[in-house]
Amino acid sequence: MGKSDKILTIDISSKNVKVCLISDKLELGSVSTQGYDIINEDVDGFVKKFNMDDIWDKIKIGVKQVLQKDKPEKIIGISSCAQRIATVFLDAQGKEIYGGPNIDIRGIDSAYLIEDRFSEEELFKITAHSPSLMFTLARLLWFKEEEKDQYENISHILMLDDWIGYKLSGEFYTDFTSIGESQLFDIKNKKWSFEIIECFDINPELLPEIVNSGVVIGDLKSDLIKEFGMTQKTIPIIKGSGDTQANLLGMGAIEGGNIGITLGTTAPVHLVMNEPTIDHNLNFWTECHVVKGKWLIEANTGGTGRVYDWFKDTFISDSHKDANEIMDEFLNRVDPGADSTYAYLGPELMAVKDQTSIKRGVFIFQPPSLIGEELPKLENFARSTIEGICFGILENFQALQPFTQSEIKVFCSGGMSKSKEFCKILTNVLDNDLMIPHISDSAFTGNAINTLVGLKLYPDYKSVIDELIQFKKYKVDPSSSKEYRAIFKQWKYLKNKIDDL
Amino acid sequence: MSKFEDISSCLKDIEDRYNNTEKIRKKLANYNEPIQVTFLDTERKIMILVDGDQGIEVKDNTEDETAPVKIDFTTEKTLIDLFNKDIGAVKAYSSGQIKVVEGKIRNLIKLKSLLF
Repeated sequence: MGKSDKILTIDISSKNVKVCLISDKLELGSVSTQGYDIINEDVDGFVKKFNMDDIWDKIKIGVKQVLQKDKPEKIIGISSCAQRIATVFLDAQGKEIYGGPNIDIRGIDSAYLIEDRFSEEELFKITAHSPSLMFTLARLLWFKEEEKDQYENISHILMLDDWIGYKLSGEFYTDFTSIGESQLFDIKNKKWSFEIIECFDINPELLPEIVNSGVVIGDLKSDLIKEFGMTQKTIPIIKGSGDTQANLLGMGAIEGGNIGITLGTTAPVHLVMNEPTIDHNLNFWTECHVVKGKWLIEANTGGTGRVYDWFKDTFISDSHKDANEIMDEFLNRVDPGADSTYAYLGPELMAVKDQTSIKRGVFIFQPPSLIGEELPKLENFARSTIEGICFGILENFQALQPFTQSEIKVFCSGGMSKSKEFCKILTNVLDNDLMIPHISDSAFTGNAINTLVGLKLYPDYKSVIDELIQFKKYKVDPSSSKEYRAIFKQWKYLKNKIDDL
Repeated sequence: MSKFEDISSCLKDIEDRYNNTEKIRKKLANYNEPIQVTFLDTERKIMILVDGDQGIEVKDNTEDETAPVKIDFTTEKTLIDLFNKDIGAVKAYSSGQIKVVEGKIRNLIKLKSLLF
């Protein structure tokens, strides 16, 4: 392996197209991050789509930027991941008919077709995902109902990560982690659900071949090698995964009983399982992991990163100092409980299938009108916002524990995991030691690990993680944890009172 | 000038949408749960009775506390704005101007084209 040999990784997250070079020793190189716009197609805000040409342009720009900056001697492989529910339909020439993000809920107009044919329980037993309006199946039926001509031109049904692989290699493949989020897939048996596919008269020829993540699916197209100014003759493309699974891999959560918390725009909490248990309450989603023989069950806390960013942008964005540093100072300055200030800004126990109303955002705090020595301060609101996020994660963390008999080990990555103060609070709120990988943007690491395994440079995922990921461990402070148990009880008590507002 | 100026014109349009749009009737073919709509500013209550694809009845100033689907609008203007496309349903919903008090998501999705 040469000194400047690198892996090229691509991640289409909910806000950005990110491209990164990372070494075969998992050392982070240059990163390109470019935001993209989502197009609203209706006044109501249900129907959304990507500008696929723009996304592809940004991938190419990102690749050129990082190559220009790091000037690697050799790219040993390229792998990618993308938001999991995002779907792409292509015509016979491989041209995009539709590309829609996670938040495209056009399926609200077509999901009745699914609901009329399958009971909630029947569908969940097969797909382990709900509500159906969110997923590929409902989007496909929307085109059948609303855009018949376009529907008839669909020749390829892909998830967003599959599309990246296609654009780079010209090959049509999906993997278990990606297609498992489509509602066209039988999660327990890890195969297409022909019961669903035949029920809705979907042509099986539209479906790509399924491979494992971490498998070489082809080579970078020669015109792209030329466009990127590369001198190599061939560069292998390795099938990646859904972004969350890449994050879990990159944070080292691959063994049964591991719980991985991805602190992105939302905070999905995933338990790694040795078998495909389906939630009898039809709430938590079961998914395939990148690791063979492992499944995941997900409880999603909701928009944690969105709440954190909103607080910084709204209340401390004018400062000349970095907002993250100010947040850490606030957390350092204020005691747990923030003088009985409680924040209810969205993070909570996953109940997406029953979510018929959006709860109001609420701060509960000592009113400034009272005669008292202490007035409510900005830092109290900051701390309560962070504690509210951690309590939302705790609710999901607790809900997943009955799904395993294995010893729990907790991993965490993502933007907020860079904050030492946040990690200390989360550790004590969860009352579990927390393992943080050395690269917080663990989707890049996950993609790189898929590449190393796909190129057979390592025998399996575990050996890469054991050898190359360094962890920072946050240890529980028992007295702080006890204090948070009492604060959480009060937070929950008040939450039950205000949920109906 | 706005097409919809009062609640009565919106209610008339709900009936028209149902009667004149085959796609909406198809969507509601297996739907028969009574819907109670309440306007919190005026306390006006409306019942919408859908009998699958066989017919619809909209009753103004009527209530049924046992209705399995209950939707609150903070003001009558919210519904009028929705019908005039002055506000999107997602925005009205996420800002609390529309609140589903009771109802299963599987049934509520069928009502979208009828009510929004």
